Amino acid sequence: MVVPRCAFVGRMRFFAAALAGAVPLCAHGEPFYGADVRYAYDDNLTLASNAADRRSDSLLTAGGYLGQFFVPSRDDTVSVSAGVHATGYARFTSLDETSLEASGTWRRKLGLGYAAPWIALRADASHDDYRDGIRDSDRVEITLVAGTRLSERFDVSGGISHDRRLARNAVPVVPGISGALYDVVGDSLFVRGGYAPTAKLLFDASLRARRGDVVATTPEGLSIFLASSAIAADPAFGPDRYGYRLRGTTTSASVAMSYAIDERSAVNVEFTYASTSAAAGLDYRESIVSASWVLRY
Amino acid sequence: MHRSLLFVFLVLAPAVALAQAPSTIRATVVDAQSHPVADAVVVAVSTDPSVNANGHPRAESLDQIDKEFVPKVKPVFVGSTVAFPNRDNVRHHVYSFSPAKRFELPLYAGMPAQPVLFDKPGVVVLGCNIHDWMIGYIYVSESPFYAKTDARGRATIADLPARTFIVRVWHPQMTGSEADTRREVKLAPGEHADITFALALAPEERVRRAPGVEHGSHY
Repeated sequence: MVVPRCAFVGRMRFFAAALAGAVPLCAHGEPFYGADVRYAYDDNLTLASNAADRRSDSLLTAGGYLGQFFVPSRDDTVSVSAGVHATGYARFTSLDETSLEASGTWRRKLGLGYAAPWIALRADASHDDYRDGIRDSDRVEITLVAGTRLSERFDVSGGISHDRRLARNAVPVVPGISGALYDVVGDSLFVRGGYAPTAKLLFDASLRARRGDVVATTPEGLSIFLASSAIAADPAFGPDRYGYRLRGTTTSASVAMSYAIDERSAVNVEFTYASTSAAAGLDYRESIVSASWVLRY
Repeated sequence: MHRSLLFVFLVLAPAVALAQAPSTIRATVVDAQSHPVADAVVVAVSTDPSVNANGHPRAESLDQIDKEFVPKVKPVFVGSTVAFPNRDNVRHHVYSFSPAKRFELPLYAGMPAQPVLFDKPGVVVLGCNIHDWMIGYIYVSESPFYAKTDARGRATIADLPARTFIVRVWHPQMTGSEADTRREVKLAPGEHADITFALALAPEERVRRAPGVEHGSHY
């Protein structure tokens, strides 16, 4: 069931070809590129309910992308991009991953001027290759978002998204129960607001609610076993650990501060707190704090 | 007879030349902390309307370079036209909602077909509907005598006739009104008058261009 290495190389070629196909469009669009480096600490990587089952770790992600920006009309803009990100963990190195990503956004302004409300449709896709093969997957997320700028300093937006993660590997451990642990699907509702007190500083806050599949890693347990729709061994966190796919609702809140180094780059710090209520009474909390540097040309 | 004429010429010529020698106003604009203020427009309006009427509208230009208006502040004499050449690879859609001039240049690359006539004094705030952070200002002066401060906060209005002028200053971030900065300056022939304005400035109100925070789902 494990995807051969040559298939991964083939997908890389596909992304490269997609990107190369966008190059001839340069004549009609504007190329852009960006890079980012992010350090984060996650206090509950296993999404476990019991304190004893929680595993925390810090991670470092770095990557870049390039794309094209098109202006088909006064009110419409389109951007497409492709990129790659690599993530390394300090302790749980089985979670190290490389992602090939593609993204497309269509945005329509409903009027003239910076304060005109807008709507946007965004599609993100990625091909994620983990050191631990059970997590190898392809992801797709479709987001519909609307927003408006209330002034030069305030802006708000909100929307819905549908995410789907397709596991490339399935290793069943229980007959009759799927081993495709990372075949997950979910729907989200979110709102965010930004306030820039100065030209350099931006405060950002967001709230999100997601209903969908979550994967928690714990030792064997009857109640979580009965509530799971997929089960697989999860050696990334230890030989006696199993991943359980459950249906749950996650509500999360994020606050962030962004400081513009110049008009092309910024450093951001962000804190996210998430609370999940899943089947079988599995409730867990997760906090992530991160610092990042982002560049966009 | 010839000697008399030569005497009169030698005596009067310098006096006539001095009477016609142009005068200059050298303005310095600083903020509340005495730091120099760039991009301030200093305008001198003669109390003699006929002097102001001697100005000639011109064909001006304001570029878009790297998705910014360059220069950010452009003073022009009323009746002048301004072209908006787009030097970027991406199209721009320039507009203004300002009462002094409402206009829209539909999405274009390169040079738009027609320049825009600015026939009413006032401040015209420019924007681009594609790049919300782009902001520029055209100051339409009712007087032909104006200048913009450089990075040292200095501006020189030269070739002024010997008259009385009302001098005032405008800046995009000034908190007070332009009218409150009015000063009366009486210029003698060939005089160089120095004048300093201290402005209270607010932080720049502008849509941020730098990248912000990207939120995504976490699943």
